[in-house]
Amino acid sequence: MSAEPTDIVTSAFAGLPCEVGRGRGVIATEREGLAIARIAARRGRKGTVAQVLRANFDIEPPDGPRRASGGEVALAGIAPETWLATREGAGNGFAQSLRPLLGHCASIADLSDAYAILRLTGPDVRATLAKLVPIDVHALTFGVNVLAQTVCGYMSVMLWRLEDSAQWGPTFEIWVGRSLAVSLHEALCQGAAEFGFVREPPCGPAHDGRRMA
Amino acid sequence: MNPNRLDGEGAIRRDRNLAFTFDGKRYTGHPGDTLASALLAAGVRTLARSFKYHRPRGILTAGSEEPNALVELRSGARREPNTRATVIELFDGLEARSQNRWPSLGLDLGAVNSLLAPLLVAGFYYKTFMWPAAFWEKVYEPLIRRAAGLGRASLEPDPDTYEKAHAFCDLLVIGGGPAGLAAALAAGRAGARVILCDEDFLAGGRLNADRREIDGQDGALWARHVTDELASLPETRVMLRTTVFGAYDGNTFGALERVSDHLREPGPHQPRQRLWKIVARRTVLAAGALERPIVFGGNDRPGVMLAGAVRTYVNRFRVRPGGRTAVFTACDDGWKTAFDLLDAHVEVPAMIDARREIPATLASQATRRGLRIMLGAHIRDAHGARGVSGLDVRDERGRITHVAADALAVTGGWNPNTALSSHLGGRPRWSEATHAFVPAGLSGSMIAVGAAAGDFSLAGALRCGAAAGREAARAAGFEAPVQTPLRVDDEAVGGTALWFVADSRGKAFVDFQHDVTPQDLAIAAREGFHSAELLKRYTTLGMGTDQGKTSAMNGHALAAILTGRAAADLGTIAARPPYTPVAIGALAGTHRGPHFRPCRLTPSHRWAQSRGAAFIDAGDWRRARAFPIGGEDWKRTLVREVLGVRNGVGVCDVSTLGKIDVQGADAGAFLDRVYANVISSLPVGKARYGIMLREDGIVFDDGTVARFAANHFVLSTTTAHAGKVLQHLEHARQVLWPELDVELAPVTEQWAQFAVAGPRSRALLEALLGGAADISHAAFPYLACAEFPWQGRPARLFRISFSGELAYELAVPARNADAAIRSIMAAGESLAVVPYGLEALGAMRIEKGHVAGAELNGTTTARDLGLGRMMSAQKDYIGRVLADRPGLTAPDRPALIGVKPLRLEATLRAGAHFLRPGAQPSLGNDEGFVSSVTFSPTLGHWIGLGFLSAGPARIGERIAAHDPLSGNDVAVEVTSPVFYDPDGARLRS
Repeated sequence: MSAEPTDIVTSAFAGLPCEVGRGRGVIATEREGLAIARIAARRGRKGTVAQVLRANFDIEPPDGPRRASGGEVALAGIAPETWLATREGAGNGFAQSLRPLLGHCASIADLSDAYAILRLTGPDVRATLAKLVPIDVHALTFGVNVLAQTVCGYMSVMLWRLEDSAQWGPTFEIWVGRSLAVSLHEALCQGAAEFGFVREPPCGPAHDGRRMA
Repeated sequence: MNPNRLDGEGAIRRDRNLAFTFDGKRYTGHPGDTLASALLAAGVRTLARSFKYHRPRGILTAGSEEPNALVELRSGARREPNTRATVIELFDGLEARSQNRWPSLGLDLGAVNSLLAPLLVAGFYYKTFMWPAAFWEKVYEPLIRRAAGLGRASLEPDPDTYEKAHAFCDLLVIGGGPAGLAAALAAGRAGARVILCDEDFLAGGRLNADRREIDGQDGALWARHVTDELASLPETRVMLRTTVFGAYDGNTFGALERVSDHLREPGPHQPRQRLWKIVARRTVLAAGALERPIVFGGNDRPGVMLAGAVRTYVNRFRVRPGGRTAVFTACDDGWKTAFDLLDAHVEVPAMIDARREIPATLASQATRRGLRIMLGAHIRDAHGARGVSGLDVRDERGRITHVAADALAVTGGWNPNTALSSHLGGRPRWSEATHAFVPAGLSGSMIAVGAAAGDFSLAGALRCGAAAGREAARAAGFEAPVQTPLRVDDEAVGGTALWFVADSRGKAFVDFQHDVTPQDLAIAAREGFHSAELLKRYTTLGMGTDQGKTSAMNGHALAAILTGRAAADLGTIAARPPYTPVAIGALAGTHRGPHFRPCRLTPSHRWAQSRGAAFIDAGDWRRARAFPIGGEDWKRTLVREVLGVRNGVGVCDVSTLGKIDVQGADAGAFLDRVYANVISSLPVGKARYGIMLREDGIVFDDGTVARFAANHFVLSTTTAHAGKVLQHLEHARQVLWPELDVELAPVTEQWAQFAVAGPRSRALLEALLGGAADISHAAFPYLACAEFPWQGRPARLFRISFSGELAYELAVPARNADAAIRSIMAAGESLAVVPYGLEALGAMRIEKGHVAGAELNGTTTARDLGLGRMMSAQKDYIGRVLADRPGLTAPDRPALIGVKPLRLEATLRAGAHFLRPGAQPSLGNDEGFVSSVTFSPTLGHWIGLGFLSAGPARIGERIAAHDPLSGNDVAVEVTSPVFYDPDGARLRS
């Protein structure tokens, strides 16, 4: 059984405006297809988890709110002895694939569908974030690969800083629970409108993008 | 057109005219003007009427401390009352109106109150409206409320937007005068992150108002150069039109940026105002000083203005306050006003100084200019019907001299602006040297400099400001070299305190905004209100929108004199935030209307929209309430959806239920401790209903627990308690039993979950899942659960039911939700599947007697809910001990029952209270209440659940459901709470 493919929406931001205001002060891109697995070390097994991750992915699990990557896999520390592992385009099978490696020393939960994620860049991204999150995102205090679990307009979010974009400058990713995607998008549009907000493709038929005056 | 406009540029741009109206009359000003300076230039002296006596009032100050010149700004939806004309930046098309007058500003009938002045003294309300007591609520209070208040707020929705923002810095400089600029420059040049805030639209503070020299250049020009340099520094931000209004814990400050208040209306996507939360490692308080008036007869008449403000109007705005402007002072600063007026070719008929001696430099400058000096003299009365026309001056020998003047510059000295120094508990201390309070008890991260610290010299302000800036930079790790001190021109800053003129004639005012007089203070003192705090409240001194900026010090000094104490012994003057009024809109920011709070959408929201669903906000979520077809009313839809499920199959998005993944070697043992019933015995592949108690024995939450592997459980929680349950479990895991190997993961957002319910649900799922899972009754019995791949992605299936029918819940990864719901509808098309919403869900759970939020209301025990048998006696768990308290086990506690109306056409209402037939509705006769009601499509009449004292033993009894709110009393029969399929045969079919 299957429905008409054109009816199906997978984007959390489907139907939302792709442009607000004038200019490209903030450019957002939805991250789709990212596999996400939550890895929580079993009681007293943090060392083993770190060993397995080093051996298999050549990553040292960060001991704090930071992100470390090795190839296509990245690890972000989100709580004591707990990380989010991500892999580009790996789907729900990624979490499953970790179980044979880590099942004896960690609890694995698939969260690939749990988040709506926007990558934000542009010359005014920091000025926009200043309106949205109550933390200091200055380059000197919020370094590359640092992440914060914070609030954005009364929504719990994770904010990561990535390497600056050569073209657009500072770059961040903001993660929110999928059910809050529309509210986050509205907050972003409000905050970035004065600088000009653009959400880059995917804005195709399943995303139904439109311009808001 | 503008008779009081002087030659020269000042800080206005004379090449452009701005048109504006005041009380409907057209005027022109220039960019750089305030409404006050432009009206003053046009010769307008009276701008307002006072609050209590409706006395004509003019402009007293040139800043945010203004108590008199309050106007209604703009019109229609943007009308804003009580706006200070002295801070309104002029724009083309500005509309302003006077307020608190009728029928006009010139002829105000409210001025009759002045005749009642002997009655309307401090404590008038308290003494007058005591009798008869019954009059208070119906007569006195409505009358007083009608008479109170200033200005009229617009009753239309605010068309503008507001937003909030956060900023962080090494140094926050509050105030852009010479001290603040010097501090910001020193720290900024060193590379520190600096924010400088100034409430004015031009940085420089008094440098724009006074004729000073710094390093050989004009002071205002120096300020402009420094501001430009600060703006060019990469880590320094100059925020003009921004008032730091409050200091809060954690080195946090609130600031209001007036982004668009100087424009006719905000530009596209521009807010009107922006509320900043600024976190600063160090703070330099360079908020300057506020000039204080002198209390003498007629000191409130239009034309009486503070001397420093006069210099601001003359030098910055190139406006004279009047044709003949006298000066009254007791300090050196007042003389500068006289000199500036004379140098601007404004006639000064008299320089009146209460001191008998003045510095020789002042005397020689005055003599050189030919100024008429009256030393040891006081003004007893400033008179004139619509404003000052003359002054009665008593000289040192007691002779009264009449001085003709249409304006009077007054200064009693300057009070350091200590407001922000006291927000965090600092208590300003009295300084005999400055005759004022100065900041004291500041936190280690704040330092006051310049006039704010009581140092009124320009040289001192620049020196201390720069030192504070350097220190802040060093504290942040930046080396700031010591600069050569800036050269400034000489100045005299001496003076004596002159609070009031004892033998004043005519009415004198201490607090202009609340019309508080020395007589009011005397009454308060006489009646025993000796504490400054009590005195303030009894007289309302300092309680207007200006918060006593020009009145608190004079009131304090007068109270000290009246009670025979020194000013220092009367306490201090502390302030609370906000420093100036902050609009509620700014505090709300973007969170208004549909954006009041974030809203969680269910995974099938867009599909539900496409089906024409009616939505309802339930807690954090927006859920489909029902799926009406055509012109159906709610009841028809409800009946169709419920019967569609009961007789066929329906589908409902139940993703909002909380889902928590529990793993670990001790997961089973952990769950045994948090649930009242045993979980560890649950076989893999099965689910079980469970209840959690709070520590106090009250039911906390309920839901199902499914076991997918020996060490892997998935819990469901109620929608409302999803977050709290996770918090509770994390507390238990991390704090109570850290030795257990348990890991929790919130997975609510990961899984979209659809209830497929009804006798045809198995047929639908078989068609949907194909060979992905065997869901025959034998392979997948009631309370079975399984995880399997479906359409290339994981899926979970639970055979659980909230509706009372054969039912399943299918969970798919959330990104698959849209495809899944469409697939379910397609698979069920031939089975006439109906989508159903929250309304039908609720109706069916009430029919089945399932408890939900209205029953799990934080006061009910498991026994109250009929779930006492679930409380295990074989193990310990949270809440076990306290659940056995006598009060919670009393046999007459209200317990869960069902009710149905005796007249089946009657409507039941939740919240109605149970009474025995014929009993009077009283607390003593109250036997319980109705918690949930619904029209039952299955039974064809209303039914309800409720809690009735000893309820389960009273099945069949007839009682009354009394609802005083709606006046609806219904005779009901007590029934079992399970109205439908009490044996559960349908669940297991």
